[in-house]
Amino acid sequence: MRILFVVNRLAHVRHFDRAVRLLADRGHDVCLASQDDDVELWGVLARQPRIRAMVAPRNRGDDWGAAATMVRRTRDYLRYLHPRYASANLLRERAFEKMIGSVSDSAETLGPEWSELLLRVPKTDQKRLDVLLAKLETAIPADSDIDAFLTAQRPDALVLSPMVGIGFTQADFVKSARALGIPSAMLVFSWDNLSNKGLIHEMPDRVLVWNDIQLREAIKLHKCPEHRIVITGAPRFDEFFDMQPASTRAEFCQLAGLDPVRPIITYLGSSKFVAAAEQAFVTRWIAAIRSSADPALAGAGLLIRPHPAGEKNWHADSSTDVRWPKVGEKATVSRPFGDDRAVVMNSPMQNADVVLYDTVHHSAAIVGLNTSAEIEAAIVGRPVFTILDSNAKGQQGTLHFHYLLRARGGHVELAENFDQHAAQLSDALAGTYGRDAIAAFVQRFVRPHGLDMPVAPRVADAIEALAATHEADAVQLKPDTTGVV
Amino acid sequence: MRILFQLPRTNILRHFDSVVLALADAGHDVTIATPGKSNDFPLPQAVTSHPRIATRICPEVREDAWKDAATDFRTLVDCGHYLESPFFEAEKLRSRAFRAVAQAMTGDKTRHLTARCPTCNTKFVDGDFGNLRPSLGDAAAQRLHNLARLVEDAIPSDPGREHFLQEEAPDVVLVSPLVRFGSEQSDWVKSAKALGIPVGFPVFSWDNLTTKGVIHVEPDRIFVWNAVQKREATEYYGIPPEKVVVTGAPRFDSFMELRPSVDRAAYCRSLNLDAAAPIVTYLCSSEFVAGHEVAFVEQWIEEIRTDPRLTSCNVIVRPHPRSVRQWSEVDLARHGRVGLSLSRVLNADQSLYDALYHSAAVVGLNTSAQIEAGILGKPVLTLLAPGFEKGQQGTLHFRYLLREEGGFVELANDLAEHTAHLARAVTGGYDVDEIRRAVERFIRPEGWDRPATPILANAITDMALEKPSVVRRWLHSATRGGR
Repeated sequence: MRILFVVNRLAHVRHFDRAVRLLADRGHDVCLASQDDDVELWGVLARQPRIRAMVAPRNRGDDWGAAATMVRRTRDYLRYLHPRYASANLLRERAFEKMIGSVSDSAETLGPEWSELLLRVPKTDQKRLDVLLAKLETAIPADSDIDAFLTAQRPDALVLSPMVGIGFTQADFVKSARALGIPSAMLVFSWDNLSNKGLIHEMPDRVLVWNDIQLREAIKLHKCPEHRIVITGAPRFDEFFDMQPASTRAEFCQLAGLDPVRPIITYLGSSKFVAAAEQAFVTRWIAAIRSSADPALAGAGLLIRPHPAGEKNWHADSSTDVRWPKVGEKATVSRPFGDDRAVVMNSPMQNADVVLYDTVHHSAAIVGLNTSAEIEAAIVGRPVFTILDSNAKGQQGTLHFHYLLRARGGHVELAENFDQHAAQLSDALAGTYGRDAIAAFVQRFVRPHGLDMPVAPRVADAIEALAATHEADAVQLKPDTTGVV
Repeated sequence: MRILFQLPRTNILRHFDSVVLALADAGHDVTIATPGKSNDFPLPQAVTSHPRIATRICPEVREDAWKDAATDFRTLVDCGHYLESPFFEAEKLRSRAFRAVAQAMTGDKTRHLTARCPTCNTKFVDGDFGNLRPSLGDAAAQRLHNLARLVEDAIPSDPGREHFLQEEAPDVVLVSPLVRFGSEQSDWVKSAKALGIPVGFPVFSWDNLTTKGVIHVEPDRIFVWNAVQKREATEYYGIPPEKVVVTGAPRFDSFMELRPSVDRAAYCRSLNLDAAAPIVTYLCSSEFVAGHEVAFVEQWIEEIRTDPRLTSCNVIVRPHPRSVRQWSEVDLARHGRVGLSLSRVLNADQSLYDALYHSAAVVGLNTSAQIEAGILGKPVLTLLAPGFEKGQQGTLHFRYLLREEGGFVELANDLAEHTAHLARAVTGGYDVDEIRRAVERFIRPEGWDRPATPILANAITDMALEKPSVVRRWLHSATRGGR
């Protein structure tokens, strides 16, 4: 069968590359069509001749391009007026900014505070506006350029990711696929995607989600019919599950410049969107740790791993590049805090990162404000902690932050202040934390079909099953006879 | 020829009854189709008794999947119109547009959209959102126009209206006023076009193309009063000039045929006025334009009377026909030589004619009756009145009647200047020919002696002849085939 993936960035395939590879290994022709003009395959994708990359249309080619974006971004903004997003100022501001940008072709801006103007509009009135915008979506026709693209590819299934960027054009691919009788699916890209991005403006035939939380989100937040949803687990962590430490504790501590005798606490940086002023917070955090009455905590080695998207701002002027002895993985280390036992170390990888794995593996406890790497820490079985920071709007102001919290069935211990946080860390350094709860969370959140069950095969199965409906329908795409006399 | 005139309410016909009668007298069958509101005004007896004029109840709203969505979307587009540069100063109009959106979004006139200003915490209710002075740049306006066009093109013709039109099988469809917020009448234009029936839009009044909603679906013809409206139709709504026909304003034809019903002495006696002193008539504006005008008018009377040249003049106050209630308990007698001319007649009002006829000068803030005053060749004056800026300078049509814009209304920037204008006017210090020429341009651009009624009637039938109705052609051919 022919499977066509459309991704807005080819790099996004890293979250399901094993599923793509598996489909090809099963004999299917897989085309990865990126909307960012990137066609360079890497890793498991590069070594399989049945996988090819190409460029997909970035936007609609007709008059509806800007208009469709306006309609969708307005609807995306509207979702953040709902009372469930009352505290989500950050998400609302982002959606508002994008909406204004779409109307003015980015020529005009309004202060973010204006995103709050309609916040108290009653739900019933919001719903009426949403119904109107949903109706306008039905008025948007399939785009002829995308029709032509799909017709030329003749796929048996179309798979899209991430689909839910605010005002994204991928809804138009679903529209065209439906018009052409091609079954379509959406792969949820990450744990926050269904609650903090845009809406699914055109519902595909299948929505492949990580877990029951995303299933509920798909139904409640996106009005997805339940029968279209397939719970597969999170394929992006399969490789991470397979990893083993690539360094001994002594080797790791030498690379990081930390004392192997002292416990290590790792701080995982969040994205700039979640925590815009994180360096100031980390400075306060280090000071709080050092002032602890618990000598183990006060003297612990502290490793700060910046978020991969913003690591450059963290290092001191004099940083050192280090390489893992056997695998050759590279990391950069520096001491910007004037504290000999506090280092910043990062690596350029974003997925299945040896440096991240080893960092977490050799840590006694993990701390973060709100970041995906907290999930990787749970996979390795380490206790994870967070502390409320009023400057980090991406904590309580997002829905997905709460999913990882212990109080909500997750694995992350929440502290409301530094004293409570320090007490939690002291317990963790003493080995007192809920290992079973961490494992239970990982199973529920990442591998709902079993901790030892890789997810990529389930994703591949779901896509195969979808493509089979196309074959079964025996729908033959008509050849393009444009221009034929 | 079969002509279907679709109106949302019967009272709209008051501006076109002469045209309907002219068409019927010429042998055409005219059907007046309205949704049949329980509180509709009765149609004039001349219309209802005419053998070639029929009335029918027609659908009011769509019943298909676009039922609410089409109206809600159009209301939003109408509101967006007031965010564009020509309307930056039109705060009152913008507020009304926002109020229309609030009503559409709440679906209920008893509930309101409220919010607090994120910067100053002021509470906004419905139309107050318009006070924010939001504005769109040209790029944004163009994008919204494009969106509106694309969505409107995607809204299908209403099956209910198509069914009605197929039953009626008219040669031509007329709709007015068309530009109400959220205009459901757009669907009549759409359905007529879908069926190949020529459709025309006679503009209801002088302010309609700048104070209401937009033309969502382009009719085959727009019948406008004058060159000003033709420019409005082309500039603000992108209507091709060849589709705009200047006919004049038929609503004034019957007014122009009126004659005074009483002589000056009798008239002054009826209102306790001094027949030897000049009369100044104050024409009140609508509540939308001027709100509660009583206090201002009383102050105006006192102020002008302080001028020795005007101390002895009579004053007639003519409340707006739709706002007579605010005058019901007002005692103007204490001012001396002040009469109140109350009437609820909206067109060709004899009491208005008499008041204007016997007046030496006329004053008003911003009202259609200023045009009637101009028809009678009277000097018409206005002044920029504190508190009424939004209903005057805040509308575009206010400027159209001003002398400095080619009109006939003398504008004063304050009361002192106005008093001077008025004193000069009551002593004959004005050019009646200049007033006539300006009025002619505005309501009878084809010539003072050429009533607009037959011009519009002919334009309607010409349109049908130029583009015969597909439905009628089909019926004719089917009938012939049957024989």
